[in-house]
Amino acid sequence: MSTFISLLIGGLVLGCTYGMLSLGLSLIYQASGFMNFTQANLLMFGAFVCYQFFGVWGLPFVISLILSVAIMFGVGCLIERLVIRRLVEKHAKNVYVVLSTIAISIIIENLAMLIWNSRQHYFPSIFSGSSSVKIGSVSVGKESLLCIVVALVAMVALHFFLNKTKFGTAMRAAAMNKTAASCMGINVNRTISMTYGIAAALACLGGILIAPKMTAYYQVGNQISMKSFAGAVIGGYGNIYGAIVGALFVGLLETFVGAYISSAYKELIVYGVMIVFMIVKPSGLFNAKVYE
Amino acid sequence: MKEQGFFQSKKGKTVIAVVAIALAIIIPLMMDNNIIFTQNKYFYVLLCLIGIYTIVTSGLDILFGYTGQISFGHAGFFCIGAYGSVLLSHTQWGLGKATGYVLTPILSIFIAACIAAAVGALLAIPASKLVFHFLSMLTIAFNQIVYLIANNFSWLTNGSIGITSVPAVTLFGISFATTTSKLKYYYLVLFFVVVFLLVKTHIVNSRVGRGLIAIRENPTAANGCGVNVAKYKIMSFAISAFYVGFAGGLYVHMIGFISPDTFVQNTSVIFITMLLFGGSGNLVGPILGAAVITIIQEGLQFLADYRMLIYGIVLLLIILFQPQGIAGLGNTISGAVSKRKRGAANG
Repeated sequence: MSTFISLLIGGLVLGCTYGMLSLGLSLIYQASGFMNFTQANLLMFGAFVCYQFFGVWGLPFVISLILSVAIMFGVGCLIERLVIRRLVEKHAKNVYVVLSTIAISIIIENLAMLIWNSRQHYFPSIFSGSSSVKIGSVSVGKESLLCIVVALVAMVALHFFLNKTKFGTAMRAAAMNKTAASCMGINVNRTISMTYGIAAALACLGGILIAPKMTAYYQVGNQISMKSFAGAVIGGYGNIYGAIVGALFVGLLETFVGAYISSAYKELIVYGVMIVFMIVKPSGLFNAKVYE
Repeated sequence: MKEQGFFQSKKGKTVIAVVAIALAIIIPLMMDNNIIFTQNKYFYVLLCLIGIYTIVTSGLDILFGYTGQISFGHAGFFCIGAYGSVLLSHTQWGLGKATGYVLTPILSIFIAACIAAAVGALLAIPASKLVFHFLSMLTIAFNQIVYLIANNFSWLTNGSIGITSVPAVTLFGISFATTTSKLKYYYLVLFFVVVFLLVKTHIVNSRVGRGLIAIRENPTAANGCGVNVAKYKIMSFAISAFYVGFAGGLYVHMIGFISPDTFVQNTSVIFITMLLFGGSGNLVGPILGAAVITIIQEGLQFLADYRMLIYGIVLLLIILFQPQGIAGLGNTISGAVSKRKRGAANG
């Protein structure tokens, strides 16, 4: 039983990290209709930026977190402003937009490798002193709990931001119908730019929270990229609630298959489930609209 | 009106092709006899690689340039062709290990390419229904799955250690072992490049090719005109996979060693970069792209760490500023010049 609980916590931590990525993917897809392959490497880069502030320069954790999330928000907006918008204005084919995000993803990955070299960097523990909490008979790392709590808070905050604030409503309106939204006086370009920023900030948050567990390493992005996509597809691509559920499902599936069946096959099984969903039920668990 | 010069006409293009093939035959021969340049064995490896990547890029072009379907997983087909051929022809692995009989390498390459084509067709059945962004994801997942199988099924592929001493190609009693003569292998590759390019021209100019282009331009309209969209997409995937699988076989029998690391996701991105850099949807683009990117890749060996970064930047710049690739550079320049002329005349 205690193994089961610690596996459950481990799966939830992974699931929450994937969830932060899937959320960003779904937000961007909803807002602009494009896939974004940069997301996972933004997570990796965000973790590195925080590592620089917190681990190397020794700033307090909260300040490093806020700084790095703000920086990554800017990076996300910049990517939209400098690349995606230019391509959209040129009426480039969708394929080229997707390709450009892959190109950016390669650039970010290799920049990280050049700046912080190709070794795995140990991310210092966030809490000093005793590093585990007892839940029943199981001791759980404080970092894991923090990861789950912060992810849940971020998801709830995003929900309220989208549904209760004026800007969130504008974003949803722009996602629903660009022309109508701009007729209502909404600056559609700005909402899309903001969406990319928010997605990057979420990815950064996910990266920082998983970093104590996975270390800061330039290939982290490649390891988790496809799994966050799997989460988004299973939940229903473009539905933010589906993204969370799908990502948690993927995290738990991966952890339990790795523990009880074979760690060599856990990725094969995750990809297999994703492909089955794509073919049998492309709209995912939450019936997202994926066909144009 | 644009006047059609000699080199744009069909006859002119044939002349150019024949001259290019003749040069491709003669120059290495002259080099081998020390008439021009120095005798550098590595140069033939480079030429072979260019040939092999030309086949890959042309195959990808049939899928992307003509049918408009994206694939980020062609390294998976490359992997199937390479591993398939090794497992069919190696005495200690795969078929040789199980039955004691092996196939001669050129036959094994052909069968492995057929397997790749079959897998491509299987992959295309669901893929032909998907919109483009799901397609890109599906092909990436396919690439990952093939890589994971090559890496984890140690009983079949020897895992991440790889398989050494891959047998050399022997044809009509002539050995094409790269350990003795790289020049002979280059001619073998050149022969297949010419065959594959001829087949590609034939496909593209046939009924099938027009159907593929119709799908690229507008699937709904193509369907309305009686093009069986699903069937043609599957065909395009299978042909493309055959090309890439065959090139994978040629590659592995040249290198003589195989390990899963060659077939990671980055390789697929490099294939796409080659195609986009050269220019998709024509015959020359893939050759140019394969040649330039291969030379850059080998020339930048000393910049090992920066290589992927440079790929990324090149890819991004091409997408932003020159989506037609360098084969379309002439058009872009003449377009810019005529625009300026027109501007001068008006202003």
